[in-house]
Amino acid sequence: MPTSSPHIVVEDLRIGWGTRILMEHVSFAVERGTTLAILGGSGSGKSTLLRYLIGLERPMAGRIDIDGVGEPHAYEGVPPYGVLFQSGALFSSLTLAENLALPLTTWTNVRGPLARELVQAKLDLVGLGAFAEHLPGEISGGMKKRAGIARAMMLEPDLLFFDEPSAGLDPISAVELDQLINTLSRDLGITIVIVTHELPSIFLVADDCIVLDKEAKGIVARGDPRRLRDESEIPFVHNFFTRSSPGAAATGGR
Amino acid sequence: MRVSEVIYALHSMGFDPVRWLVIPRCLALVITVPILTWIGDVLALGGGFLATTIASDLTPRAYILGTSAAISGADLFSGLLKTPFLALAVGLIACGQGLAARGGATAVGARTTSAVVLAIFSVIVISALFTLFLTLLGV
Repeated sequence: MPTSSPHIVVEDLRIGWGTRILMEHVSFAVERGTTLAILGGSGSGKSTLLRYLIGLERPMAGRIDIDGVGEPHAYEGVPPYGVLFQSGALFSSLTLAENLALPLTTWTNVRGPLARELVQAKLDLVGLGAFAEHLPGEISGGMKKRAGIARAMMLEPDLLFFDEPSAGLDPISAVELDQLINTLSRDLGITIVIVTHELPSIFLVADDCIVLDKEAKGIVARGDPRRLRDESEIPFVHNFFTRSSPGAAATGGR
Repeated sequence: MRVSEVIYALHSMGFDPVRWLVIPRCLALVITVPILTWIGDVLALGGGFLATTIASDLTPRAYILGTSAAISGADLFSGLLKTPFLALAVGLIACGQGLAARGGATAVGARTTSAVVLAIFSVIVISALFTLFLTLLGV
């Protein structure tokens, strides 16, 4: 497979439930080694789109093709991508080390000291080396998310999906997480798809973005987030990036 | 439950939530509920013995003879026989409702209520069917 081909291709996707269409005509591609941000207001379907990308739901129409995976909902076996969920989704009865070891010992023959060494290396990478024996309930929300990233990386995927990694974190923890995401993308060459509506995170980590709008039921803008902020003439996109309310122009406010 | 995204996480790691969550819980119930029922039977008989001999003039010997005459081995057997089936029904209903819970803490509460109501109903139905079946067998 040529490395220049897109890592993810989405073509004319239509998603929804029953007769209700949430979004349609959704098409985009994610280049290998880049970070794509899926943006949009609350209820625009960002996290829902992510669930389709990782194969948790089957689309009504259209195609999602992940290089090496094909259609994610039809893929069987160990998905060659990792996912960080909004809550971290760690297993509460297992220590951080046990959480990280789970995919490793289930899907590979790595056991014993080598498994412990690999788990420790991943915990060190996300700055949680000293917390290996802590339960998820004993660490902060930001640490849970970092542990979730470490678990998502246990099987060395070249593609990571993040669902609102900075949501609910204090500014310092959020920046630390953004810097970690940058490290993964720029230093390790991992392709990253990130769902967020945190503007500082978007400008710090994203190379490219798509903007979803629930009124338009799909993508209303696509491109470099800095360029969209400065140049987009689409009212929703302009308001999103400049944190303006729709009525601000009429009232003369920001 | 899907509310905490743990089930999504299982999917995303290639794990089957039924194998990882439902089967262990149902298996645990099928094994432990008969044991708990047996313990409950023993405690009920022992408690009855203590209460009767302390609170009334009935002698211990009279209680034992009376209880032996009223309860046969078949009664204990029929009581224990249905417990794995009741445990399986309760486990499947609870896990099914848990897996279907979406939409936040409210959904968890609603699904918990549904699970309790359905489990009570299933226990009554399964017990009635066993009673009918055992009566037809003359047990």
